[in-house]
Amino acid sequence: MTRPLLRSTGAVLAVLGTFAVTLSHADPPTINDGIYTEEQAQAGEELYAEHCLTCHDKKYFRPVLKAWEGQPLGVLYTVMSASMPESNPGALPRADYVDILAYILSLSRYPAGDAELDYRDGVLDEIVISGRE
Amino acid sequence: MKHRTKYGLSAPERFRHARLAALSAGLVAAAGLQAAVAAPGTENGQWHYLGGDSAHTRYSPADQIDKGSFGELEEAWIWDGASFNAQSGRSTPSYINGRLYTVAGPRRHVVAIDPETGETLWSYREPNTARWEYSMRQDYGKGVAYAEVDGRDVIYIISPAFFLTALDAETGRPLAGFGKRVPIEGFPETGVVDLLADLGHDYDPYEGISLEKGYITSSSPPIVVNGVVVVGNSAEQGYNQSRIENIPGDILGYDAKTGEFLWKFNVLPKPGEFGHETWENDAWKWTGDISSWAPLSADQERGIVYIPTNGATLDFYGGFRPGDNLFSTSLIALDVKTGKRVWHFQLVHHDIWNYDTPTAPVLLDVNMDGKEVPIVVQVTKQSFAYTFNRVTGEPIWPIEERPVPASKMPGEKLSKTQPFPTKPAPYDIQGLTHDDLIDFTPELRQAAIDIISDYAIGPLFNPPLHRDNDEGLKGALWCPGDIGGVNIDGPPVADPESGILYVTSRKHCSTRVMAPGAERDARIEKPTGTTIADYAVLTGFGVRGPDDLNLFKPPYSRITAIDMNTGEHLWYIPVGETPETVLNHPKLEGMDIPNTGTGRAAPMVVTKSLLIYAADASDGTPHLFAVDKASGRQVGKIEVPDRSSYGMMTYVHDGKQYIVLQTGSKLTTLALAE
Repeated sequence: MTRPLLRSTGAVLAVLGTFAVTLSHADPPTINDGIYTEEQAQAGEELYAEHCLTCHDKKYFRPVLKAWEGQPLGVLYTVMSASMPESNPGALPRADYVDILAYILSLSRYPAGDAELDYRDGVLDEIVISGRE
Repeated sequence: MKHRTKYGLSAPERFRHARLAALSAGLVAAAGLQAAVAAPGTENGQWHYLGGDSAHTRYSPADQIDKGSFGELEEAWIWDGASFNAQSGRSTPSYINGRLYTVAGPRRHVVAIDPETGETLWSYREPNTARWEYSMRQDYGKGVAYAEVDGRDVIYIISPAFFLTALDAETGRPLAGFGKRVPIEGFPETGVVDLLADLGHDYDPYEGISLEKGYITSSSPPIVVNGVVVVGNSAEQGYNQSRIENIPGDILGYDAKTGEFLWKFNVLPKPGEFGHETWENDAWKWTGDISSWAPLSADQERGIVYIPTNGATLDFYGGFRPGDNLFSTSLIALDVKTGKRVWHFQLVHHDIWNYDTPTAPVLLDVNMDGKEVPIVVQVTKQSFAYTFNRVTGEPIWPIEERPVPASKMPGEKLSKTQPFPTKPAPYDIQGLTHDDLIDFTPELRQAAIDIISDYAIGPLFNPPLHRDNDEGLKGALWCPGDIGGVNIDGPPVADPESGILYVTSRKHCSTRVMAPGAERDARIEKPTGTTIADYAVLTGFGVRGPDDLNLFKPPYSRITAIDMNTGEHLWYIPVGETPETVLNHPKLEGMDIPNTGTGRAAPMVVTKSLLIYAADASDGTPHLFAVDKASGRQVGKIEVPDRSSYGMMTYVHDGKQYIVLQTGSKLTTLALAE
């Protein structure tokens, strides 16, 4: 047991953790780089309303994305696609979770782009969650 | 033993009197009802508690909607809580003397609704406070409580900010002569009790309790028993905590007429109190939770309230709180007059699996060897239906302490045994072996084996495993997971006439990335407590099956009928129909796939002649299914406007029976075509 380890320590570790990730990835793509299409976000909006909205309102993911800054987008996708919706975890096709992810990014006003977001080939693990530019 | 009431009637006698009264009023014939031997609350088409009656059976003797007429159901009206910013659909309305009452949205507006038209009659909104702003379960209100006080109907709620408010059901105005003035601008002069005042912690009326000390709110309403308002509570979810301090979810009792504070029951025993020795490391001084977030049930005749509890702070790691940790993850029976413990049973010792009790205990009077036996049954995530004599607390069937695995996480000291009911049999998966995995084809079975090979699997109570473990595994995979078995979205129902319990459950296993607590703490915006735990959940997820198919053999979700007179399972059915994504899956082409069930739990009600539940058909459209109660055979199926969850209710108004579905922000109401 390491009592007491105070809140400020946690904050310091968070800053150091983010700094370390930033240093170790020179120019990785981030969620600011137009990594999904508007069509995906539109499809995701319908899915979000059907499967997510009862527990997560439209503001829910703003602090989540902030808390996850520096982490690969693939981690968030893995959590979503294996544990959500809570009423029937993992029940949707993988592509649907990507569309929902696109909508979540659009809700936090991360820009859309020309290329579709894809869950295959580890693409999501290469994209870093970052603060909105 | 027959229990005499203050009216000089035993429970069965009182029920018989109620039946005679109903018959003489002519109401039964008008609505097609027959009175049943049930706890008070659903006579004559009423629905006084969110669980129908105070026994939480969700049973109604209404019978206008039966096998013959079920197919004629159509939409009666839809009430939309969008203007209250409602989203979750967790609240089951109550129907009391000609009106529906519910709560809606993050402000937990109390709303009265015309039961014939769906028109909003009045609403009440609690003034803003800082303690509401940081409240963590704002839109999760599950309903209202009710009592008759001096001939007047009164509605009670607990708000996200943890105030108890009593409202005149006729007008929606705060009840005169109830509570104490709250020193915050905008609060009414009467009708409100500040619940924080009676917990014994420092607080500010506007700001609440400091997050460094802990956090408390409520999502369920109170329950009123013999003139006493019993107040439970909720904490922040244990999987969203990273620090070891919290406040305990002590139970509070108030006078229903005046709001006068009557008693407090300490769910975390203090020195000298029963169970104190189950807290080592002085953890009783600073940790907490043990909230009673599921609704409470009551035996009105005997004046006993039944309280299911949550685990202690935190979920999945309890190295800082060695010991069994009473009264966490327990069923507690309290004398409502004094708040004293009548009996208790701890369902899980030193719970670190998030096996909190998610639904209200169900009370039944069953027949065993010719004797009427008052029982209480608590269904759980771990797929056990723990059953007790609700007066004495004696298990109806033996519950054995059996050895369970030890934890490999540093500092974690688990109980060497856990209680295992010998009857009824588990109603869903417990533990995981390769035989539980998908077996439509050998290739799919092998793919599933490969997927779980990264995890430590084992029997029930397989403990979590930390990241960077010596086994080189991602973690542990334990079954049921914390959203397996029964959960909040599928409360059980029961038929008090037959003594049959209907349980809806889901097959699910959990794994969590257990990392040093500081990693998780850095990601929590407003953590509670000050001392970071050695370990906490970094991320939580289940495990996907192969090729977008379920990891397990079907059924993915089911309804099990259990005869509580004998403890025997009578039948089970999958919930809804096999999804088209399974039926049309390229790897299953040409195969005869059985009904897998949807994987979702089923909101249910049980009536005089039917078990009614909501689920999706194969094409994903929401439907209502009618089932023969004795056999489980489907006798009706109709499409409904929207998918529902968390509960369902029925009532009879002006001779017409309605069914209310909880469909997100809306209440969708069905009745027979004119």
